[in-house]
Amino acid sequence: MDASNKNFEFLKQKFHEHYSSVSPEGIAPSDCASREFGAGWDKKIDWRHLALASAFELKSFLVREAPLYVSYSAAHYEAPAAQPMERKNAKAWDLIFDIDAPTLKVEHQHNELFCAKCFEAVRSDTQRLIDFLVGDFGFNEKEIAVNFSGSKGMHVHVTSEEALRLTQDARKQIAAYIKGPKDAAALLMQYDEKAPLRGPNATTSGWKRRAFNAAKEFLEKATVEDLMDYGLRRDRAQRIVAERSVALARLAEGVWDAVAGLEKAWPTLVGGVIARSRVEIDEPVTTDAARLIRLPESLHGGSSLRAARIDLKRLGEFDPLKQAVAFKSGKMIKIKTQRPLEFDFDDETRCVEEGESEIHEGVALFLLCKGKAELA
Amino acid sequence: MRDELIAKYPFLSAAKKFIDAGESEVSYEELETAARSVTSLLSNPAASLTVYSTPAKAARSHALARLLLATLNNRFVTRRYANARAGQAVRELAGENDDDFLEIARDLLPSVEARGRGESALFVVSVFDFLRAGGGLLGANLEKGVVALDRDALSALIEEAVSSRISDFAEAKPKRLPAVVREAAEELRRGIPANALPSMQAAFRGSHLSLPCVQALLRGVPEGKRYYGAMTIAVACAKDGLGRDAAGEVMRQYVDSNERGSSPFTLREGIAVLDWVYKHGGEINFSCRTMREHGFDDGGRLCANCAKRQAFKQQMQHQGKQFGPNQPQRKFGRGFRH
Ligand SMILES: [Zn+2]
Repeated sequence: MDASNKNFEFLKQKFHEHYSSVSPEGIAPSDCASREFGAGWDKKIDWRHLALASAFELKSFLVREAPLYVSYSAAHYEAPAAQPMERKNAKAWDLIFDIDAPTLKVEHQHNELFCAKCFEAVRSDTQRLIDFLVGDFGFNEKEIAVNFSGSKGMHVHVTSEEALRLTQDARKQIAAYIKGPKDAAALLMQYDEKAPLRGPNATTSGWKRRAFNAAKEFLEKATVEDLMDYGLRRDRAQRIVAERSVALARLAEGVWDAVAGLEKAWPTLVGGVIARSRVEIDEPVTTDAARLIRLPESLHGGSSLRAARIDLKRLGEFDPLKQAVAFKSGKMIKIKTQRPLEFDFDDETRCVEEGESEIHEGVALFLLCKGKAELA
Repeated sequence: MRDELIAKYPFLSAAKKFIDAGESEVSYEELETAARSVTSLLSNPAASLTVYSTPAKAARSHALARLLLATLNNRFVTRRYANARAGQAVRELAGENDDDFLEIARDLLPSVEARGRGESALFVVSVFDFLRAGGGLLGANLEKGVVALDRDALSALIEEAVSSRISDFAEAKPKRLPAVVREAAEELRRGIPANALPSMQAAFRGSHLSLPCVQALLRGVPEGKRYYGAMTIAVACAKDGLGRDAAGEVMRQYVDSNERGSSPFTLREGIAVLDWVYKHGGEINFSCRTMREHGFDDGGRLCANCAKRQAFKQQMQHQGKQFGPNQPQRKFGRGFRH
């Protein structure tokens, strides 16, 4: 048996052991019998169009086959195993979102193994996505489930009655709303340079409200220097500060250029608020009806981590390298690595030297899945 | 619902009871009148609403017009008619009092509620009704699952909803049609004014847009192929050197001709595709092969380009040369990839 085969068989054995210990109800999705399942060993999905009629059947499948990747359909079908797709007959369709990379790219020292900095950003993106779903779309928190993707992202599932019935066009619109307007011009209106600059007023909501609030907050506090940072001449900036109350009163009515010069500041400012509020979701996951998504609580073959379900209230504290670690026995495993590695794992900084070493099972599996180590 | 309102707006759900109670036989004369009402609205979409003397007459006339359009089976004409009808209704609606306006709005958007009355009245509608009616979310006043609209914005949403309701034939299309209906539909086809048919202006005669396969696309494609169809149309427009506005008009025709399906492919989506293609300019090539792979080959007929390729292939075979994937790809004409 060559080395990669040996690693693969070992992983399969470990995944088999893990799935033997899970409860069927703990791993089955809602309406299990109506879902299409997919499984993979080499690729993420080597095999799809699987129907598993119950939680028990799903568990038996996982124990028997020990797939390294398991996914299921967002859609609920009358005949989940039928092919081609049209013959499956979709009855309903969960509304799902996938955030797999931070929305805002910030300079930082990126850690290839697992980047805590990137994940922190993804986690706060997830919180903003939930704020959109609850605050804007009016979904109930109880109808929203969040889980770790198993790798570096987060998945959000909405299962309210209304969400299940949304058309594809409606989903495209919801995705576009969460990704936000392309630029400030989408929220501000000016026919030509001489025409007044109109924008959202104090009674608006949605994206318009976000733009209005940002403009109002800025105008309430802006100093001459702040305004000059937006490219205004000193005399103009001074006039705006002097006539602040007029500018604010007119802004509330939707007139954004009551004091000359202001029009220069708004595109950048509103563009900034869009960039900070939007969430970069992987759109096809939301809008493609035939999509399969990782099964919550299943293991991810690229990390050995669990696609752990997360309590919405504890989202801010979630750390995959603590809460999503599936293998926690004290067993020691002999591995060899090409390079020395240093990383945080399960609350400890781990150092693995180059060459052979003996380390805890959980850490070893993580490195094996990441392709950073081999069994010695 | 008051009878008077149904006489004006026979697309409302309450009109159904008058259809059910009415005569089930239909005469050729009656169908002819319905056909004339369709052609007359198509030639003058700005005409004001015809108000019938009774709700039963209005409901029957409306049902017959839809039956004829369903029989005619021309999505483009149907969409033009539905848009004109919705426009008429909304112009008339402007004169209705608050209560009637709200009652009609609720028939189309069940969750609508009014806050305040008169000029300053504000309406709220659930985001799900709003999306179903085809409202655009990005600029919407959306909060806690409801969209707030003033009377004008709500009227625009109603217009969309009325147009969809009229052009959705899911229930209106009977399986077996009496000969008299088919005859009247034929009569209607002959009477359709030129302005209601897809325009064949210069814009549509470029070397790509005039390809038979692209022309077939412009007559509409089924659900599931609409996005790729839009992409093809946009690429054809760009390759023909059409300006963005002219291309927008072509896209509008394509969108109007498409099957509505379980979810509409909207003009907004078509335009988004168009903008994307125009932004990526010359990078995208028009591909006859991809057209064939998608079944967009106008029933297997070969366009001049495909025919040229076929001839070339035969000639090569004749000369005993192999022509296949191991041969370098050959290009015919600028921008064509086979
Ligand atoms: Zn990073």
